[in-house]
Amino acid sequence: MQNDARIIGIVSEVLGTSVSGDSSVDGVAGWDSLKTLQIVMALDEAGYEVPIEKIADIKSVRDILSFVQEEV
Amino acid sequence: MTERIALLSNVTVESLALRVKKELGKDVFVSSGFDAWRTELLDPSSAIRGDEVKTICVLLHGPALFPDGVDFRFIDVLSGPLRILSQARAAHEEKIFVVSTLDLPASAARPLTGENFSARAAALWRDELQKMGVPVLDVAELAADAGRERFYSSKMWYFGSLPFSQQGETLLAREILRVENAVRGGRRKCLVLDLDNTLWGGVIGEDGIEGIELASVGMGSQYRDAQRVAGELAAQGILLAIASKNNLEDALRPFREHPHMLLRESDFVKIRADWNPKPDNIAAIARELNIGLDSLVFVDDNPLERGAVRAALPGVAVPEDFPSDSSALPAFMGRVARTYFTALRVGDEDRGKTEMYQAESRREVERGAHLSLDDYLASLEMKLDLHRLREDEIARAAQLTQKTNQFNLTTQRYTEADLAAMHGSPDLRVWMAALRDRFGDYGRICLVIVRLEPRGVLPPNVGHTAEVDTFLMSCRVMGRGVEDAVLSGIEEELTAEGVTTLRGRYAETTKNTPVRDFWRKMGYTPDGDSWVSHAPFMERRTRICRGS
Repeated sequence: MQNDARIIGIVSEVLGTSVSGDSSVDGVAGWDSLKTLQIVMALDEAGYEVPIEKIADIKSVRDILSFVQEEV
Repeated sequence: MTERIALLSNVTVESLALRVKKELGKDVFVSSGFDAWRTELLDPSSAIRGDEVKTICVLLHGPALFPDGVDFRFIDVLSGPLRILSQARAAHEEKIFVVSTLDLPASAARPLTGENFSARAAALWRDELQKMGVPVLDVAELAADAGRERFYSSKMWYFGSLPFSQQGETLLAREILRVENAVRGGRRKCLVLDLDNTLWGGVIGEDGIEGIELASVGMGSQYRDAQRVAGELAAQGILLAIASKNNLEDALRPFREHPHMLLRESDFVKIRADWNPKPDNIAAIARELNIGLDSLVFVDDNPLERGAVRAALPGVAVPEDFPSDSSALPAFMGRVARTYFTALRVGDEDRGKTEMYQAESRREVERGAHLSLDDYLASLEMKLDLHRLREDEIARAAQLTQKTNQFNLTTQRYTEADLAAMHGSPDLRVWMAALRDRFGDYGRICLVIVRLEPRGVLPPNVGHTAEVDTFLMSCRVMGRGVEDAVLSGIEEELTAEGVTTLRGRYAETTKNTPVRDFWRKMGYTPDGDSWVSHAPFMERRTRICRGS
């Protein structure tokens, strides 16, 4: 749960607006594919890996939470 | 009309453009499509020809120029892009035109003795840009500083043709800002420095000239390295000034008396060392130099002083990331220099100096081609100060006996009290030696204790015997013949005292095998469990000058 909060925090920071677990690409203004890439980059730097095969499938914050693999 | 910057690249830079926009607050035009940068540059109807575009930045990702890897044909690959850049520069004369260097990792399959075509290609690119007189965005240097692992992201590359990581993009955005500022002549003019804990460690008014931290090697040399950065700026025409809370005479003492101060009083155009508030002093410096407050940068370790200056003089740049650990000070000064004082080109008067230095370094290289060890040692210009132990050196002497393991023939450990007693004993001779060369001062690095045969036993015309109790030396100066010079010096002084036989011992430990053959090398012959030599003692050839 603590990880989820941190991930949502990172997503919010990249999008420049506060999102929740229920937010989706279609529902957030300005969330385009470029922002999705920047989210993956930011998560990468924080130690949360989204596998490359899953990036194209990201449609919502919930997707990100389910795709993230924590680096051990 | 909002000003724009054009960012042209052979890879995806939309994400980088967003970050540049955030850092610069300027609109960014981006070329889209793999090779679009070429056509945008040469197309007379391109959007980048517009007056609102003041800066064109061409950022080329090296590996993307070489999709099949870098091999011996690299010149063929690079000549096309270089020709385009050369034409484009002429076509956009009125704009700021910046081109990146190439960061090209070496081929993973390169044999150890094989040629590094990647390095040659990157060097050729850099040389050609320099010949064109194009200011560079040094991607290769940024990547080297951050480490490629962190600067790039293979996931972003394979997913979106976007080579950089978030960190890489942030560094690039800042670098673009910095280069643009330098090209525009936004360079600041004057660096105002604090003294205590900035140019040296400690407080001169309290710790005194002996107590402040400042050295040419090891602890204290971080301050000297930080001073060097300021000195280099001064050599490029940046004005240096001091704003320090100190008595003036205290503040000036290190400049006049400390052997390791790199900066001299004459390097500073204004010295304000008193107890007035720093903002007042800094405002006065700007007034007297007749430059704006926005030409000043103020560096101080004390956050209170920084806050006071920032509040009172908002135009003055006050870097906030002064390191809490002094080992990070030179890197911090480097950042200050790069951020505020980057010049577009070397000035005419500096160029003369640069040429002089270049000639000097060529001489070094030529010398290096046929350099024997002996020549090398001679070139160090070593000066040895061998003297009888002084009262104020007892602590250092004890420390040397406690800490020296490798070059230590007998590994006798002595306390300060022991050494104080030895210092006063008529039967003992204790020598200390200090070494410096043209690169710096190594300090007191060698200690020798010799026990004389008790006097009065033999008539004066009969030779005396003496025994080396301790012979140790810091491993930092091994391999230079220092020990030869020290032993010869001591033999000479003992001879003058009537000693004709000198005896030495080697007591083996797990650490002191490097000196196992010391006595043999010094011309001593085995005698039971010790080594002995008689007057006249052997002459040893060294490249070391005696004298203080």
